Amino acid sequence: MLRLATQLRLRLFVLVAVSFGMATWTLWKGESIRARNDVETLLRINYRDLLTGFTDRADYQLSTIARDIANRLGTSGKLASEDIAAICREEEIAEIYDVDARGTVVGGSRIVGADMHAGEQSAFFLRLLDPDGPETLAQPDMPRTSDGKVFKYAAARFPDGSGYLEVGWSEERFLKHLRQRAYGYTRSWHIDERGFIILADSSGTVTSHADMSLAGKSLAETTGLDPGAIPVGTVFRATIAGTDMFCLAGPVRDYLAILADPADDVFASRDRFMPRIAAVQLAVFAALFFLVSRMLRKRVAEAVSRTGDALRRIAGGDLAGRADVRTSLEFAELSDNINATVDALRNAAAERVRRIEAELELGRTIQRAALPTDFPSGEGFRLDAAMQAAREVGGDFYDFFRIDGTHVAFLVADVSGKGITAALYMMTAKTLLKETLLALHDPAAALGKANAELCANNPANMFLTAWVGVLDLETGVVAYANAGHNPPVLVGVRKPDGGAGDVRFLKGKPDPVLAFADGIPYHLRTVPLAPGDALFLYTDGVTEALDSRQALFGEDRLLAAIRAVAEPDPHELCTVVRAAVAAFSEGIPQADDITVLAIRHIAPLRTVSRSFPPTREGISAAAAHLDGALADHPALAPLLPRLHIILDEIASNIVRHSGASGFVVDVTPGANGVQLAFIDDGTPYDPLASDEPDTSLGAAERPIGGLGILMVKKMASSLSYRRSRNRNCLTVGMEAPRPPAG
Amino acid sequence: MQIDKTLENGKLSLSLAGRLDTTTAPDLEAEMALDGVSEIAFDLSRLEYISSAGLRILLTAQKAMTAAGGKMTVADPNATVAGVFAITGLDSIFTIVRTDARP
Repeated sequence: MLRLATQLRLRLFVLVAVSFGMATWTLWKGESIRARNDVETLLRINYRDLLTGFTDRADYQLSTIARDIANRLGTSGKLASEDIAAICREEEIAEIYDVDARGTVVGGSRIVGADMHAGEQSAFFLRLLDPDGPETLAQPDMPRTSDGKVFKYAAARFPDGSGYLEVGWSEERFLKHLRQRAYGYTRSWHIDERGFIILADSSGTVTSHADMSLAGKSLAETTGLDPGAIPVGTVFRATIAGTDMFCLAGPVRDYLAILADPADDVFASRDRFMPRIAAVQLAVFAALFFLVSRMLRKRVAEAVSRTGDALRRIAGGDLAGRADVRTSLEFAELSDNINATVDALRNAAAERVRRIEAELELGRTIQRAALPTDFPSGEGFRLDAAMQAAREVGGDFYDFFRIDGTHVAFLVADVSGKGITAALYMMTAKTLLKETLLALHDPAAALGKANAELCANNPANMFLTAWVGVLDLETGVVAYANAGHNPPVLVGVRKPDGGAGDVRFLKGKPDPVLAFADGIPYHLRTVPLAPGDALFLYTDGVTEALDSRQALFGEDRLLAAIRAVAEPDPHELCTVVRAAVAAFSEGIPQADDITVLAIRHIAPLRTVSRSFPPTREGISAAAAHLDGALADHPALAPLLPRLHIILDEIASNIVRHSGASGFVVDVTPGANGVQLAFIDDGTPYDPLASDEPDTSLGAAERPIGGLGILMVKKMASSLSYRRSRNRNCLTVGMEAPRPPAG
Repeated sequence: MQIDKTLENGKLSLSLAGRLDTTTAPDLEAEMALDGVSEIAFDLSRLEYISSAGLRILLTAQKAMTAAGGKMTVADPNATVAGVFAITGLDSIFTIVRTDARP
C-alpha cells in the first residue's frame, strides 16, 4: 500500500503530465495550423503576383512599342504618310492606329475616320487624351473584334498631346509573347526560401521551373503528380521530386502554375520554436507539480500522518493522549472526534475496571459469608479462626461444627486457583466436607467420600488441599486426615514446673490432594491433646508470604511466632501469627489468602450428678451439692448466686407441682461456665412454654406466680427442655465471663 | 439465713444475712407479723441472693403496706439481688434505698 503523499503525487504527476502533454500538443497543433494558414496565404499572394506579373509584361512591352512609335512620329497625323505595313512588320504588331485629340482615327491599319468613342473597347484609351491622365495604357482584356479575331491593345500619348497612338498584337503574337514569357518565367521566383513555381502548358509540358533543366519535360515526370488529378484552387500537400511540399495550383492564362513550398520550411518556425516552448512549459508544469505536491504533502499527508501518530500513541496505551491537528476544518473535526472516541473508550475501560472490582468484591463477599464467625463457647474447647483474603479472591476456607455432644469437627482447606470460580468451588467443597463429616464422623472416611464426589463433578479441574480433624471433648484425642495440606503445629500447654510447652509440627506424610483422582485411600491418624494443648492450622498463605526481598515467611518463623505466645489461647495464637506475617511482608501486596485456625482442648467435662428426694430437705441438699461441685472451680464462684437461684426455682417447682418421686441435679463445671441439668419423673412440664408474667403491672396487680421461671429464663445463658423416657430434662447453661484480652 | 428483727414504734426493721430461698423463706415468713406496723425496712446488705420464694414475701409485704398507707423500703441489695429485682421488674415496685454514698 502506498503512502498517501505518494498516491497524491502520482495522481498529480499524471495530471500534470497529461496537462503538459495536452498544452504542448495544443500549441503544436495551433502552430501547425498557423503555419498552414501562413503557407496558404503565401501561396495565394504569390499566385496573384504571378498572375499579374505574367500579363504585366505584355502590357509593358506593347505599351513601350506604342510609346516608341508615338515618340518617333511625334504628333498625330503623321502616320498616314508612313509605310504602315512596314512598321507593323518591324514592330511585329498587327494593327496600328493614330487617334487625334478628338478621338478620331486619322491613320492606321483600318477603320480610318472611325470615332473611337463608338466602341467600348476603343473608348478605353480615350483617357490618354486627358493631359493629366496616364501617358500610356495597356488594355488588359482581349476583346473580340467584329471579325472574331482576338487582339491585345496598348496606346501611348503623343508627346505633344495631339492624340495617341494605339497598337495591337494579334492573338498569335500575344500568345507568342506569352510563350516566351512562360518559358523560364519562374526560374528565379522563390517562394519564401526554397519554394518555387512550376509553369506547364496545356499539354502538360513544363515551361518554367526553378531548375530549368526540367523544362520541356512532362509535368508528371517532373513532379510525380498526375496532371489530371491536380486540385486547382485549394492548397494541397504533395511530394514533388521527393520533397514533401505544400502546393497551390491555378491557371495562368492557358498555363497551369503550381506553386510549392517545402513542408519543412513551412513548419520551420514551428519546429524551431516548439522545443523551446515545450521546455518552458515543462519547467512551468514541473514547478507547478512540485509546489502543489509540497502543498498537498504539508496540508494533507502531514496532517494525516500527525493524526495517525496521535492515534498510534493512544492505541499504544496512552489513553490520555490527544489528537490536535487543526490545519483545516476537517482535520479539526477529525481530531475532536478522535478525542471524543478516546474519552468514551477511557470511560468504558474505567467502567470495565469498576465492574471487575465489583466482581472481586462479590467474590470476597461470598468467601467471607461462607465462613462461620460464631466462634463457639462450647464445653471442653476453645476455638478461633480467621481468613484474610488476598486482593483477588482465592479459595481458602475453614470450618468448624459440632458433630455430636462430645465431638467437634474443625478443618482448614485451600482451593487451587483464584477468582469467582475458586470462591464458588470453595462453597461446594465446604458444604461437601461438612456433610460427609456429619454423616461419617471419621475424617479419613469423610475425605474419601468427599473426594469421590468432587472427582465426579469437576469441570473446571480444580483441586484442593484440606486438613480435617475431630476433637473428642471427653478424651482430648484428635482424629485427623490430611489431604495434601500443610502440617499443623502442636502447641503444648505450659508445663507444671513453669517451663514452656512443646511447640512442634505434627509431621506425617500427607495423602494426595482432593478432587485430583478418585479412589484414593485417606488414612486416619490420631494425636492426643492434653488439657490446655492446642493445634494450630494454617494455609500456605502464611508460610509462603513474601517480604520485600522475596524471602519466604517459612516454617521457622511460624514456630518462632507461636513460641512467643505464653498460653496457647486460640485467639492469641491467631492474632500473633497474623501480626507476624503482616509485619514480615509489610509493603508487599498479599498474594494469597491467609487462613489460620486454632483449637484448644479445655479440661474434660466432669459432671457431678446426684439425686434428691422431692422435699424441702432435698432442695437444701441439692444446694449443698451445687456448692460442692463448684468448690474446685474458684473461677466459677461469681456464678454461684445465680446458679443457686435457678436451682431453687426449678427444684421448688419440681417439689411443689410435679408429683415426682425425686429429682436429679447434674452439675457440669467447665472453663466456659457451668451447666445444670434437672431431671425428674414428674408430670410433663416444659417451663419454656409458660407465659412470662407481665412485669409492667403495679404491685397491686402483680400476680405472685410465674416469677421463678422468669428469673431462670433471664439469668440463664442457655436453656433447653427435653421430655425423654418419661422424664423431664431441663438443661440450664450459664456462661462464665470471658477473660479480659491481652 | 440469719434474721435480725426490731420492731419500734410501728417500724419493722429486718436485716437478712445469708440466702433467702425456698428453704429459708418460712423463717422470714414467721417474722412477718404486720399488725400495728406502718413501716417496714428491709436491710439486704448481707443477703447473698433471693429466690422467688423470698420475692413472694417481700411483694406481699409491699402490697400490705401500700394498702395500709404505710411505707416499705428495701436497702442495699447486692448485685445479684438487685439483678433479680431488675429482671422481675420489682425494682419499680419496691423502694430501693442505698445507705452508703458509694455509687
